[in-house]
Amino acid sequence: MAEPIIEVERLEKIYVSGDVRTHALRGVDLRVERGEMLAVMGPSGCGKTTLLNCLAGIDDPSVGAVRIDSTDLATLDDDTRTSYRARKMGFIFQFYNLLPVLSAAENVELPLLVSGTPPAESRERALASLDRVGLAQWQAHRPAQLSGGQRQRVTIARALVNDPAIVWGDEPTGDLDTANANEIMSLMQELNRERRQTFVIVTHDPEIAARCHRTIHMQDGLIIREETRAAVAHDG
Amino acid sequence: MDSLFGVPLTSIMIGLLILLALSLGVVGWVWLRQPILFRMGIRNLGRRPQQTALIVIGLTLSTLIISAAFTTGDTVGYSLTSGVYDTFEEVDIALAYDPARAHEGAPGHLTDGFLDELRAEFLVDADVDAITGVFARDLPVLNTRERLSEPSAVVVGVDPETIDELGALRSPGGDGVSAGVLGGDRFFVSRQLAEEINAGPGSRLQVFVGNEAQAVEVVDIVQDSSLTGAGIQLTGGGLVGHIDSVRRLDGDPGELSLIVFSALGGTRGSLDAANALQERIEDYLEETGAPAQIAFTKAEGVAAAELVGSIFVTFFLLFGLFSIAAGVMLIFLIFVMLAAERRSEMGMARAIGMRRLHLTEMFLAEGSGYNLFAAIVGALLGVAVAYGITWLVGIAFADFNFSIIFHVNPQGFVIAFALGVVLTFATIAFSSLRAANINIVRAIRDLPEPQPLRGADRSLAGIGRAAVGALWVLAWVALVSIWAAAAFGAFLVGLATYGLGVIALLLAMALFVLGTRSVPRGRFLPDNGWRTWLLWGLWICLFSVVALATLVLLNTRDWAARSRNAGGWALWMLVAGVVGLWLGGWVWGQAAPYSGGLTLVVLAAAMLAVYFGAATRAAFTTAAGLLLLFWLTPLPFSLIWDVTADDTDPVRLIAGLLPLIPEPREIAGNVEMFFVSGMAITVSSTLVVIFNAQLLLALLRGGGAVFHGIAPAIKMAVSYPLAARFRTGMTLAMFVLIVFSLVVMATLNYNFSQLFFSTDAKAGFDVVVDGNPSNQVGDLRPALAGSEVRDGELAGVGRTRSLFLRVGEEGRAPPAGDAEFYRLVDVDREFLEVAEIPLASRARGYDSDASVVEALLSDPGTAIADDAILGVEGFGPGGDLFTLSDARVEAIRGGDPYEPVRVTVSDPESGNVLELRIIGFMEAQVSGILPQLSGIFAHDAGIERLSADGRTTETFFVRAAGSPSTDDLEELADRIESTLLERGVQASAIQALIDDQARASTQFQLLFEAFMGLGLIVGIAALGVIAFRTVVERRQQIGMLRALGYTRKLVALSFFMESSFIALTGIALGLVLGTALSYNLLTDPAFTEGTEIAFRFPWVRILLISGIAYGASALMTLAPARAASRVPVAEALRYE
Repeated sequence: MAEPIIEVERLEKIYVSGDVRTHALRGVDLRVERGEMLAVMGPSGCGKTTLLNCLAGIDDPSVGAVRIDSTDLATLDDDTRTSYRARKMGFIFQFYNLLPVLSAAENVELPLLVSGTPPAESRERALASLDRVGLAQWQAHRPAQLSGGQRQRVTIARALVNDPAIVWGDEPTGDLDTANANEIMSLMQELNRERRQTFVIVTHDPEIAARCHRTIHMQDGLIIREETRAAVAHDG
Repeated sequence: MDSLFGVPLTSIMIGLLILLALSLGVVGWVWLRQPILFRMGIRNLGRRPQQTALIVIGLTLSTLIISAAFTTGDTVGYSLTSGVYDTFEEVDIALAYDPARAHEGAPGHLTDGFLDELRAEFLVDADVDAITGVFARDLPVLNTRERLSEPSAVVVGVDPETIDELGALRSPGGDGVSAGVLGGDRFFVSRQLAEEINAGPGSRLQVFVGNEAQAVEVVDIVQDSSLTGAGIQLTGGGLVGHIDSVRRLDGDPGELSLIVFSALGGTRGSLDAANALQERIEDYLEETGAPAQIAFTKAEGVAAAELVGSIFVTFFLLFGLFSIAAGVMLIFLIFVMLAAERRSEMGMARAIGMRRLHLTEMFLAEGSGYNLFAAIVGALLGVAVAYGITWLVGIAFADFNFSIIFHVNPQGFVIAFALGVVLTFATIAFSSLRAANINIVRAIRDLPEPQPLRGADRSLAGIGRAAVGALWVLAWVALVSIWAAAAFGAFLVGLATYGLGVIALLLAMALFVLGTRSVPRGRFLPDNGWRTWLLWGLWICLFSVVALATLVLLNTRDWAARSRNAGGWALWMLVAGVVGLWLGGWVWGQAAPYSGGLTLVVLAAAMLAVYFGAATRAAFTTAAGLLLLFWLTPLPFSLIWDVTADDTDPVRLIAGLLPLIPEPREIAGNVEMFFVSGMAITVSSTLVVIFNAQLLLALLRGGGAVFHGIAPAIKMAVSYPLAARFRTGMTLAMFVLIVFSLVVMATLNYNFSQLFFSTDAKAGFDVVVDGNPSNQVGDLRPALAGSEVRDGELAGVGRTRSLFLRVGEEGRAPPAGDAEFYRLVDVDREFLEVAEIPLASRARGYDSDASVVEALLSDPGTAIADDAILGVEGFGPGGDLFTLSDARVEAIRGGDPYEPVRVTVSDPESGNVLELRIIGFMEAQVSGILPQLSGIFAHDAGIERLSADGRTTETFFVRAAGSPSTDDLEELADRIESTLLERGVQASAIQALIDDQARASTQFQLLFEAFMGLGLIVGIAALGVIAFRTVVERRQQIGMLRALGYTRKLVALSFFMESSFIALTGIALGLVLGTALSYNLLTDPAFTEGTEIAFRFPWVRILLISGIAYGASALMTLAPARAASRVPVAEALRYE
């Protein structure tokens, strides 16, 4: 059996708002292997994004443990967990979440600056990353000057610039048309193959899920079903 | 205080109350017509309490400044006025001897005979209460038992009968005291003198006259008043005795010093009667040619006190304008930000059917909620601030016998409140109109609005249409405001008494008809039966025209769309600028409209260039750069731009090149230019920075390479403000404006203080000894022989004798009245040998100050004079004394050697004349502290020969041996004074006098700067509003940054540095520009009136100002920075 990079045990998450308690995750167990491309599917409100947030360490579970590369996230304080995230993880969001005041290159080099990479090297790597996603000539443009597909490519370039072990994608194609969604998915597959990076992608789209190695289906805060594919389509 | 800027306060108040009613009427109309919108607007107040608190603080400030200015002025005016009434009591007018009208051979003083004439003439006057004569001398008084003395007490002789009619003598408890007990050696002592020498009823005192002691007995203590020297001169109180007793001490039989009139009406109610009486007295003196003049009046004292109060209000308002302007910018910024925050909400509202007017009304309701609350709080806080200011003024001037009585004028309070509300309402209304001007789709999808200046139709006709649209909006706003206020007013009337309203309307109509019928026959129209109907017809026509105009206006709403392009407004700005330029340059000769107009023209030109397609950055950078050059040239730091002052006026240059344009008149500016230049420099510098911030970013990027750890925070801190140009520019401008004004004020104050409180004011001496005219010393050294003052302690002793004499300038008709007189100072050889008096200018043939002194010593016909004889420019009349003619002053101030100024000095009584040539003029600072150093100074001028009675004022200037400290010098002065106690001399250490005045001046300056510094609250509040707002706006981005690896500290640091970036840039700009302008002013002879000032930078004050400004900004940013760092990441990422 391959080495697991993500291990989750009996994960629960309860949101409390006044007197109302919402059980978003009700005891999730999950293992994800290094280099695996995992899709998380389910109806709205089933706990997909909450699971992703807890796995990425940007939200604290109420009960249970999350281990990334054998490190229990609960044992890290906020600053250490933040640095850990900067080194090990990349993020792709549905609405891109690019900083509107920075150019494409500046957006991409942000994670490098945070991790203390010298500015010149940061810029060099950011441009290389942009080149990898086919946007080298758009480096000086601001997000408002780019199309939706281009923005998501910048987000992918940003997610991959520090060569993370895991890339989290929260509906990465949710805001794109079919053609762009296919292109982005192909890009992620290529990167997954080339770099053996682990991708965990939350999606509503079965076609996107079909291009991942494994899909877990969630409902009411629990994993109710799992599908594994021996071979996945590369072109949608 | 009754008026401000020459306009009666009542008129200002009524005007503002009408505007207030109009503003409230519009809000009331919204509440009445659109209650839901009104409620929606008001509910926004509670949405974000912290932000609401900051907005209210920001809005409060304008009203606070206005209220504080009024209350401070009122208090100062009221305190001074009360002091005048307390001093003058029943005395309204005092006549003194007028040497200018003296006849040869006549006694050189007023006489009992003249008093009798006046009593016969005026006691029958209905306005006259009493007339009496007094005889007064300044004399030394000693309480031998207590060994306490007063070297200069006013010893006043009164006629018991007539002084009792006047009722001028009162006990310390306020009861009337009869002068009947006076006579022989029996005297009253004033309370001040009694306290000073510990005297009371039964005390035996000695009065020294002609160096001999005369004994007097105190029978009672009376209040200090104008009769005991209070308020007239700085004396230590006085003695009041029978007039014959005082004349026997030192005077001629029948001699009077003053004749005083009391008008009916008591202490405070006699001003009107006294004014009428004064005219009749002046007419009488004119008719009879009597050698008397009005020396002082209570009305003048009251008017002077009120003027000082008014000057305080004017200055505090004028220098508060910076803060008020910053406050207006803050209001505008807040509403622009609120509009940005609710852009998509408003887009949705428009999509479901709300009109632009509805959005405007909603904003108006919300703004009025902030406004009314802020205005009342501001007005009350202003009173509290004024209390603090006047309390500190009281402390600063405690040594000058000035007691503060706190006073709030209700009119001033109402004006401050109304002005605060109206000012804020106008800004809110403008901001609301702008905020409602949105495109629905762009607003809903949160897409950027297109460049507001770029013209869709880049033609002259296009911009003309845009200008018509802008004008339409203005007319529409005015019309709607009036209609709304009228409708709300009618509603209120109807609501109160509906029926009465109808009756009032009918009554009004009836009155109108009656009024029309009562028009005199034949006055306006032919006298026939149908004239009434014709008048009715004319009225109907007039109303129809107005109604038609309204209808047309309301039916041309589409025109409003044209106003949305700023090109139309730019055209009006150009027109306003040209009009200002023309009025200022060719009609009034005033710098404010001239330079302000030029600034508007240049900015409008840039806007129009952008309208027609020019690059925004290039257009605004060029225009703002040129304006900075115009306002700051000659730049102190410029190496390439070396032009004379005249060449820096571009309009003059253009007029010189184009023969069709006449040259502008000579332009004069005053203190208002401080504000105009501040605004223009602030706007220009902000534009340059905002449009060229990329360069700054590149620099900081370099900084990021050095500071690895915080590089991500630096990146965020700089990128965000540079992306939001408008809000950054506005906040930056607020900081620049306030810091600029503070730096200019602090630098000017500091440099002038350094000048006037420098060692030059000592003129090379250490102790000044004022003699008493009735007890001349003659030679100081022998007089001190054998005393505690050793001769070796005195390195030099100069003696001067002075007298006010009539001065005539060669080739010029004599000026009228007091303006004929100036002080002649006859100095001895030792004075000239010891004195160190720097000269600002020397006549032709005198190459150095030493050559001038040499000439004075060798040629009795030469003289030097102080700076005041050249007059004072800029701030009104320089005083009542003689000044040289303008042409002569221009030649002297011009800087080149001039011909010696020939003057004649004569005594009107004796008719003796002395001719002098003035060959040098002192630096202004020489006579800044010691009035004894002002006058025309000549050596061996034979001043006794000029004077009819040989009486002169004697002064000694002592230079101490060695380098004694100020304390040592004060002790030396005390020893001189106590040795010569019986001569009534007063000795002071000059350095101590300088220090006292410098202390009071510095305290007042700091107080004033602190008042101006209130404006910093605006800038700081703006930073706070922006910081709190950005935490909300960037919530999702913060979440993303945290996900990417920004630690909490890094997020907090980036927010903190972002505010710091704006604050520090603003402070640095304000510092540089303020220093540049101050340097230019202080090195410009036109500003310093020829005085050379060695520019000094007030490091301590500037560091304090910068430190407080930045420290407070940093504190304000801590809370939002902390809030940003604590944003929950997962929740923020879900945030939309």
